[in-house]
Amino acid sequence: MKSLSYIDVFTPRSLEEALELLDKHRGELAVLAGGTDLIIQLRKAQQKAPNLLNIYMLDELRYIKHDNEIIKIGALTDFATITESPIIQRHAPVLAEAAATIGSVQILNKASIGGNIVNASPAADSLPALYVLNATLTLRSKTGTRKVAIEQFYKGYKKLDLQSGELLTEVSFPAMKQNQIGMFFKHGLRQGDAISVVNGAILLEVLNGYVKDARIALGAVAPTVVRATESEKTLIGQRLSEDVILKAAQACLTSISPIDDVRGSAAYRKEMCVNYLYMTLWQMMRMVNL
Amino acid sequence: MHQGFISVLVTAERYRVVGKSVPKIDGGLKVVGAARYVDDVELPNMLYAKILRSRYPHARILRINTEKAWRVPGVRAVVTGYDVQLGRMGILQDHPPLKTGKVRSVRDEVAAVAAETVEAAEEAVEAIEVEYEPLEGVFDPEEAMKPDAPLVHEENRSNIVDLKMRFSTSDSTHLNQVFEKAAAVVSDRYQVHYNNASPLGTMGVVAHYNNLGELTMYTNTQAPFLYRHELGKILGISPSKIRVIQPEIGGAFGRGMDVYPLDPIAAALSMKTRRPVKLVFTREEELQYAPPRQPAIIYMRTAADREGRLLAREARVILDAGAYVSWGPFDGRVMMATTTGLYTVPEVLFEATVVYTNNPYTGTQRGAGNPQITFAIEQQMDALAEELGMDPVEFRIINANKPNTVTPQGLKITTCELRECLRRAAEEIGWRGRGMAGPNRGIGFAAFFHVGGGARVYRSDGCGTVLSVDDFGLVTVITGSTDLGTGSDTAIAQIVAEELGISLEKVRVVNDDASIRPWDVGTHASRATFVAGNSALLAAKKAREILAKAAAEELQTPPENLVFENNTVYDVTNPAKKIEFDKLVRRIHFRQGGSNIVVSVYYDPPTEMQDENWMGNLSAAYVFGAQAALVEVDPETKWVKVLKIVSVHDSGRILNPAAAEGQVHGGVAMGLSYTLYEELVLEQGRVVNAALTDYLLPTALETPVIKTVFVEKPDPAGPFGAKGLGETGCIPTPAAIANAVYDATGKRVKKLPIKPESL
Repeated sequence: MKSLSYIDVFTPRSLEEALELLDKHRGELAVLAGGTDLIIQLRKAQQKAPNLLNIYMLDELRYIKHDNEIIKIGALTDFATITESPIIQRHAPVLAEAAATIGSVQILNKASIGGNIVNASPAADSLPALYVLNATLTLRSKTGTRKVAIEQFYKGYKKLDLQSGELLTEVSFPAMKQNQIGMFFKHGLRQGDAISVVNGAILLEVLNGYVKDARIALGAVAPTVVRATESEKTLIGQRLSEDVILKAAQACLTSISPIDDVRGSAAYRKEMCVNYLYMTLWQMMRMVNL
Repeated sequence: MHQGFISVLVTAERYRVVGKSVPKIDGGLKVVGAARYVDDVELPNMLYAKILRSRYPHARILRINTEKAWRVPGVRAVVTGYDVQLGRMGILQDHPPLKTGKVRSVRDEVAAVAAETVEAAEEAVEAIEVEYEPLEGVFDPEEAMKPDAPLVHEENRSNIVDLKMRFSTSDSTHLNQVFEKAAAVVSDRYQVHYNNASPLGTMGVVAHYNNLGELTMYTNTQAPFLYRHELGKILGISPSKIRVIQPEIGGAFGRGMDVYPLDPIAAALSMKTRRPVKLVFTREEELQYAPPRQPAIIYMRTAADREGRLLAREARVILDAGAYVSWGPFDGRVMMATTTGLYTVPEVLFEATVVYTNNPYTGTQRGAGNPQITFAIEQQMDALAEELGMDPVEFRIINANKPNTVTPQGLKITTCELRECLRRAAEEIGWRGRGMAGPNRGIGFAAFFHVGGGARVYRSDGCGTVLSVDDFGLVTVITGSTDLGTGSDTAIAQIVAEELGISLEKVRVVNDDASIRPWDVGTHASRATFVAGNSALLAAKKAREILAKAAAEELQTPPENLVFENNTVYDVTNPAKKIEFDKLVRRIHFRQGGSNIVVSVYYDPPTEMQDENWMGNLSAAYVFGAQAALVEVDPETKWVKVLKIVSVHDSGRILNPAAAEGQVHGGVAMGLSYTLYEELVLEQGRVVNAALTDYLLPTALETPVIKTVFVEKPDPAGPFGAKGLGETGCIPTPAAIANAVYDATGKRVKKLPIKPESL
């Protein structure tokens, strides 16, 4: 463990001041939110750690709102709050489900959704859910506000469409409709507090028994979270059946490019991805056909 | 999960303290967070140390430049092997604490720094410049045995370590004939992996050398007396100048058996600065640099006749010692004893080959080779039973050792309830036969065998006790024995309280400062309750004699009529004739020619050091037992979920049922985690998952229902009939789970850990 005592920490009292500081120290500040990823990374880093902008005090970035069929979540909102939020449970249960699996109670209490997004781990558990919810990210800087679709935000492994001076302030997405169902899945190597070997989220819109729209996002199987477009195509316009969901599950292989690492081989990840998609779709099929 | 234990008590004697579930005497301080561990030791003027380790698994050191480290503010000492003279470490004296000339693993210590803060020490260590010439490394023990393999220790001209561990009942021609004629033979290769002991308390030491030339070491070693002796040799100072203090130990599991480089390095830094130096591992360092469990490659075959009687067993084991030999390879001795001693096998051959590689050097860990070899033996028992069309429980019972058996190695088995343990395991798990556990479910069994009455691996296997009674009737037991957190101090206190008829609160156990304690070989081999308990019992008996003599005079009754009970001594023929325990002590003390009560004993169990042919009765008692596992294997994900473990133990009389059950629960969880989760993944000799994010310790969700059963047959040699219990919970778990996975899936797992991916 390295000492971080040489670091300067700026703790703004308002979002305004935070954006001011980001602008003044362009490219020199790392943003500290819950710190559950950042502090560990800084202590392990080979290079000198950057100075920090500590936004943890900015309560104005902690909220969950239901506004005109749009759900808005302040970037500093922690995962315990998201999991327990009646708004999320009702209008985006797939995100509530994903948020609950992110880590231990301590992590859920500290870690923020904005941090999870900006840290950009391909295995981050909130991201597949946000992908299928078609989430939009609000990026603010001293000079203005920009909105980016979450899929456009990731340009490669840990490469973000985030300019210096910009701060992620809000995540928003349309509330799920009556005829939409969503499910999250996660495969880790143990039941408690595991890092995902494979994770994913599925959102289906069903009309008269036919799949009108399907969105499937998979994590930990490529440098960024990916949409399983071939699987989605296989489902759209179909009635859910054993045959259709099996084909859809197998079709995900064209979208993913997993690697071998200490948590699992690429071949194993592929197999688990197909199996989990199948199992999750099977459960959704039962729900739809009830 | 608390299931309540079941106890089959064979004799019904009336005890007041022994056999009762009393809270651990050290529990209160730990619960309120007031217990002091090595990391809590803070001394005035203390410095903090960090070690620089090798960048390569195998390389020549060309140059070390410490100039920049000295320039870091707060640095008070920098040492390398070139500027301090330290002796070599280890049984084979193959391990210099600070390396010169060559490094043989990424764990190798190249330099160390003491500074005013940990951070300054870390910065300084990183500022040390070392020039290496990388050499080709060898990381596979079977590769390392080949004649053209890179040599880890060139002077030996071979990577095969000169440690002969071979035992056989007959020559190999005869053995081969037995195998050829046998009705059923099973032969396979098994492989078991590295894991970390993962105690809560990481490795650490505080060394303080003063101007009088005295060195005080605060350490979490398991063997303070051997530690003191070894450290003196390494440092070149008289052990009488070394004071070893053990604060509370936050678990050790065998990892604390040896002296490790951090000990002499911290001492050397303190000797340079004359200031206390603290060196405590972070969790990452613990995972990367603490000695892991001994891995093994096991080639085994077993033969049986048509009636299901074992005819012969052959085990050839390859033990990767790593770059140096510490305690790990000596697991081979335990593997040998179980190969020859768990069942009655007329013909048996065991051979272990120990090999140097550029991997981390290994230590011993709970079970000491027994979980590893039992994984192979008990899977072969399962496979043989199937080949013979027999029930696996029945097949084991036919071959199980019985009381009063002498094993081929001369181990004298006295009490042995193995057959009853197997029956109870089958009954409690609901065994109805193979393939009957339900869809995707399976049940597996494994038996075990271990020492439980000391283990003579050193010239003395003993433990001393000094017992004194103060004027208020408080009994202080100064024991040589170390409590690793298992509850052995509580067992000692219970034994003394029982013998003197006093309540447990009236007994205090002292064992922090080895300079005032009588000698003990160390806490290993599940020996503390048996050996230190017997020692304490002898001391209590001696004190009781003194007390009885005085009470007999006082109460005007013959000593044989006296009963010690409820903090009083009374006449059994007339209970009104009584005297309080503390009053009696004062009567002895405060009179003309009176005296304190202080007694001293040394108990050395009737055990034998094994001879060069590996013959000899290693222990004064042996423990047996059986485990059954119920698992479910998810057909889609190959997730192995352990639903229930039944753990049955013949450990003699159970002195403290709650504490004993805790030992079994902990052991099962450790064994289960070794089987399914924990693995140190090595690449080029370096641990690549040295953090708790990817080194998977089990959580409460991974721990199944554990049903503990004690088959209590008091052992005549044990204190109140007790035998060892500390290690046995984890020994059969890997084999039992592997057999259950086979029952569920039809797939034999020959390699640990069992990962969903490998199924």
